[in-house]
Amino acid sequence: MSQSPTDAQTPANAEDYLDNWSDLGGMISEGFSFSGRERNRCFLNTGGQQFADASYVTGLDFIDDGRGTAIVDWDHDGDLDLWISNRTGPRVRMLQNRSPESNQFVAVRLQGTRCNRDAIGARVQLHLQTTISGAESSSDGQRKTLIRTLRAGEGFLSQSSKWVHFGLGTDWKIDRLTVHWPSQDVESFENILPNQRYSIVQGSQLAKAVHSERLVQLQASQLGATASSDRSRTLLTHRLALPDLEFRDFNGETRQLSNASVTPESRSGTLINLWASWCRPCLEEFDQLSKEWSLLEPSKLRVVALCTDPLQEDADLSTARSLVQESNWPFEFGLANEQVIQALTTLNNDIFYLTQPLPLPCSLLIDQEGKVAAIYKGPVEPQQLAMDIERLEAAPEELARAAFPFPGRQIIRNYNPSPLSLATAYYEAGYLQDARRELIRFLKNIAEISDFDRLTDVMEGSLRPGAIHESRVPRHTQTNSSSHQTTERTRLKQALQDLQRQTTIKGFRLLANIERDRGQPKNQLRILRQLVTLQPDSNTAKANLAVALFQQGQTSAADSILQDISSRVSDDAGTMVLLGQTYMKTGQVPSAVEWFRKALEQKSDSPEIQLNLGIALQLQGSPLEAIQQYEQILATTPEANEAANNLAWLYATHNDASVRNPTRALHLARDLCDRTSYTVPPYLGTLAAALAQGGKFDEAIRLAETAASIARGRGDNEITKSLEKRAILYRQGKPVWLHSKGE
Amino acid sequence: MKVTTSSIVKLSIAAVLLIAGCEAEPLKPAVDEPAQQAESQETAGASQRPATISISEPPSVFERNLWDSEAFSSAAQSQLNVIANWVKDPAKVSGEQLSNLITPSFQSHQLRPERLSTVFEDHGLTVQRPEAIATDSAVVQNGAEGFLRALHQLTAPLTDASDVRCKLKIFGVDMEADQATTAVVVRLGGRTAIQAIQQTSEWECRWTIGTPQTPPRLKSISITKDEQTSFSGPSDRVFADCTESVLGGNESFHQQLVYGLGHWLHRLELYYGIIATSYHGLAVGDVNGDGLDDVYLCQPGGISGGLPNRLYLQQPDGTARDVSAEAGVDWLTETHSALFIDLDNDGDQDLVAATMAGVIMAENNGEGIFRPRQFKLIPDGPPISLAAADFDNDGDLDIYACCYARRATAEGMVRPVPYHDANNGSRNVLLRNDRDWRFSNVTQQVGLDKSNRRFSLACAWEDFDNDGDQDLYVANDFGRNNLYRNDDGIFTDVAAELGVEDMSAGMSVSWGDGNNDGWMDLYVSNMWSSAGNRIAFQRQFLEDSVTPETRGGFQRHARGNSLFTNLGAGDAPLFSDGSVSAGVTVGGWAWSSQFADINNDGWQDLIVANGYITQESTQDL
Repeated sequence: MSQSPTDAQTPANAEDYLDNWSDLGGMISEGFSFSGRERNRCFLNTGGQQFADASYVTGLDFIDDGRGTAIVDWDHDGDLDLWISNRTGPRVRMLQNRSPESNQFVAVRLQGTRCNRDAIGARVQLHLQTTISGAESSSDGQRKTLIRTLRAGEGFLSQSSKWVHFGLGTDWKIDRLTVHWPSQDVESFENILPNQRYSIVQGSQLAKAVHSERLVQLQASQLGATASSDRSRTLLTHRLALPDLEFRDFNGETRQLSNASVTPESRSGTLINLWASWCRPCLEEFDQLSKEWSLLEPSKLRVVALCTDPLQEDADLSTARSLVQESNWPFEFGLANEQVIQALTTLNNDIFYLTQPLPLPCSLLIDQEGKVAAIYKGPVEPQQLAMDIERLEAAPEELARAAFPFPGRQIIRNYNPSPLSLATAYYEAGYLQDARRELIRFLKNIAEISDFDRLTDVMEGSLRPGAIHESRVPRHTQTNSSSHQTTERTRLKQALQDLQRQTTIKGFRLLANIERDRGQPKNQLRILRQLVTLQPDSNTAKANLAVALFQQGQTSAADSILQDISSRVSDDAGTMVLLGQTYMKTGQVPSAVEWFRKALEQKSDSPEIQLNLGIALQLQGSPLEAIQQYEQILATTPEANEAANNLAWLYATHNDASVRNPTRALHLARDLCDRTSYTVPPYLGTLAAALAQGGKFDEAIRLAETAASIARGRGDNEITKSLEKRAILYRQGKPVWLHSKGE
Repeated sequence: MKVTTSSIVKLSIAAVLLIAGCEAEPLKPAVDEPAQQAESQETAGASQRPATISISEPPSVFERNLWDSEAFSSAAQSQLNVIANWVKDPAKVSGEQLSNLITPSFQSHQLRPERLSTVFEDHGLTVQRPEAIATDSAVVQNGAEGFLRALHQLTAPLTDASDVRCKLKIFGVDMEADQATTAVVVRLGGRTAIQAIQQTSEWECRWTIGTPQTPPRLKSISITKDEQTSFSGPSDRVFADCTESVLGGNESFHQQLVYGLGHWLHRLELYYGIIATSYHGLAVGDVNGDGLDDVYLCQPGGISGGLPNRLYLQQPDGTARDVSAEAGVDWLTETHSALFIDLDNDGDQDLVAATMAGVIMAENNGEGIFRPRQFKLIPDGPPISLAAADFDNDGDLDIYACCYARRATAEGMVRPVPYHDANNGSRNVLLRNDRDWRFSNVTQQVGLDKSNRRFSLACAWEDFDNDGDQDLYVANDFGRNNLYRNDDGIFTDVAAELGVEDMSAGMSVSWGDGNNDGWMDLYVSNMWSSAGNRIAFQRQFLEDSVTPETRGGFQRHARGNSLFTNLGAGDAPLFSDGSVSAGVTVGGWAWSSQFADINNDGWQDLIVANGYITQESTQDL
């Protein structure tokens, strides 16, 4: 505490402060406790002003490292039980409330209809009246109101039951129960009886009693922490290299512990074992391994059994020597030395959070590359070992499956978020500086990423629901011919370069948007130009640059790019559409119309081009031609929502009465909203406009307001505003007599 | 041939080897004392207590350095532990040990006030407090005999009690030239034939200073606070541990949950990202619509995997069955917390999880089978606690996620600076539900980005000003908390203005109407640390280097949990801090704490889960 910097000016990496943190972490990993063995607390409310310590008498004072608490009447007996999660074992406890049943309760379960379905945020009030005559007889007076709110998530890391629970004591009767729904409406219920559970659906005006006939008989037991066994096996997903180490055998000859030279390719790997002559489990382990040696023999496993006797004070090797000579264990025997123990201990401490001395016996399985693949504390099970040897060459996903102690879903594919997804997440949240920082750092480093898997991770999304991590290019391809290997290498190199290029392009695109949003048009242009250089054949890249140039007033530069694309368009409809869309973005509607028409000549049956043309015509002020396009689309594709919406809007709101067709507008908009379950604000807005046109203002107002509220919830501010404006028009009894623009 | 299986070999180098895996014979661990042993020392049955003790001369003053109050505390604590041990089992404490605790002129008042008034009584639960501490001062115990009489008087109600507990802990020290005074919290408990009883007191102890060779001795004890609580009812205590009965039918319980995190720290690769703190919570909800609440348990590991999360489905008989795999929620990525909420308003409970990788939303098919639908990466760092509400009142649930430290960068971890008011952590996020399983990070847009780089651990929504919309409180470690008032979907941090900044180590938030006045009060977990209280109040603590405000900040850090009473609209400030007078600060290193009316009397009680890291070593940092 004393070493903390005390002002904000001190950098967070002030050396001594950081040292303190790592010292603290070090001591925890060495096994020290830190505010441990604290007993959970319970404070009894003794009348609203003061609380009494009731930790012991309630029985909640477990010595666990408690974390989360969830409150629930689990057994429906009318009092609150608890679930507590712990750091220590047992890592969860269920505590049944066994209060005397003298006090009364009421519980309600809410269901929202106008508000969120769970009715989270609902405030429930229980109005009570004393049953004791005379106001003085009760310290609370004659009436009191209890309040509860239905919440989702509170305390620490916890969510309690959605049953809203009230204790009533004994001297009170229920006057009424009031629900303030989060949608601001209030419902009151009388005739609520104590010791009942009710279900209330918003707007039903009914509190329905819920009866559950259950027989719950739970047994109490004294559950302490389960002692951890010293015996364990961990298969590593991330192998650590064993340093070059030497040892002497019983004849004093120096040998190599593990490296490629003594692990010929024909061998599967090495098992380094630590033992002592006085350690019975060690010797039993040898017997067991020998007995089942047939399991291991095919793998050509090398077992190096290092005796730790020489490290004891007053070391005497005679016992160990005669053990080794008299038995016929098929192992390579040697003597452990300080360097070996030190190195293995360091490896162990790098593999696990807790730094601990190595036990006896203890074994490490080393793969052909000289890396630790598995670590066994206590005797090795021969069958387990045989299985682990088979996994030495396993693909990462298979290895992961075998390494986790229990089966489960590896829901996240990427181990670490990619800088690109970090930047995208920052950008979405509006943190432009952070997005830019991540992206620039990433773009600078991208050429240096030479690991195909990592780059694949960078390129792909982080979540593949229910999927397991799998590498796209198998790392352990079994190949014999060298020419095949060369081809494979070339292929991989090419794939890597392609990926680097694609990734860079993706990054630059995001960066261009960031610069635009930051109000840095020069930077934006520079990046868009780089994108054109990176993709010389991409018309889209050029078009994007043209739009930005146009928006920044460099119209002639923009035009020359578009001219350039136009001159080489030949008969490619895709490029024509791109040109049309680009001209739309630069406000040159007649040119857009022209290009869309040309595109349509190439692909006359494309609803997409027809829609583009329709919109361009509508913007150009050619409503009848636009209508013609939309009607054509709908003739072939009746469920074309955008076309239907634009068409309905034109029919409903165009200022030229000869264009309007209120009946058809209403029909189209009604169909559209039915198809989309009345959830899309612009479609609802169109229907409202059609209704207003037909004089049905009440319905129009209601729909426009609903649409505005949905749009507001989605953060679509522009749509919200225009819908609100139109609702005002409708209130004044006016239809939308405005120039129509398809929304 | 001499073969042994139980010795611990100390090698000449740092490495120590011990024996593992011999199932037949118990192994002796290479640690000071196992946890179970330490626990059993606190609990013991009562037996005969010795009648007399004698006293030798007290030691003299030894030279003190700047931090000698801690050295003194440690020595005095050892002396107090002798008293605790005597209470638990007098046979284990010799007369000489007792006599070495006190000076010849020792004086004390009655250690258990006898003139009590019942301040609360409710169907088996009774709370008594002394009418006045001073009235008992008439009875003065002198010398060795008096000391023993006082101890006997203290433990009289525990005669023949089982499960006796006693703990004395120093939480304040005042050093003078030739004597020292300590504030001590005393907790006593036991179960007699008819009731469970506990006594919670505070003592003021005066001591000789002692020397490193001769421990401090008690000159006097006086009681400054006392409370005696009892329960008699159909069971031994109010709550019964039914964990085994509920979960015992599941293999996963016996294979995974009975073991503490320490067991898994020895088995799961550090490479996954597993650490010792363990932020793993739980969620209750009815996932299959059968009317019974089920429970989801978040499990440790790291970003790349670990132990799979567990979903236990409640059966009509109250037991619970593991359906994690078939329900599709046995996720291996370390998960801190989860919520069951209906995200798509289709009438079932969907699942939101705060994992090391980000926030995952999974859709319930109506029958309790889940399919991941959305993943939100939180760029600053992993989410910790979650709380959902419809902040913009558009009819769907939005999600607030608290984040703690920032993701480690190439430059390493970012530590909180300054310790007592750090704002350099990971930004929390509000994820707005845009329907169709789309969620937008609108934190900045709605004004929740003020004071948002704190080390947040907990959050809870509540309409604290009774204006019909959902406001938000966020508890932050290393400094001040946030209360964001909601005004039409735009938030303003009013924590300072309303007096609920609670500059401390915030770890949990719970709202509840503690005094039944119709306004939601606020209970916040912090760290009540006896060491922090001792050190931060020493005169020399940061004497030269900081302002009184900063020093006050450190002192406030050690005070413990806070109860803020909502005074209702129109009053200023809106909240009053009555934590100390309400008697709810001493919650230890407190994690989740919540209002809950455990005895159905209409008054909301408080439960507190606490304790940071218990390992095999009894040495506590």
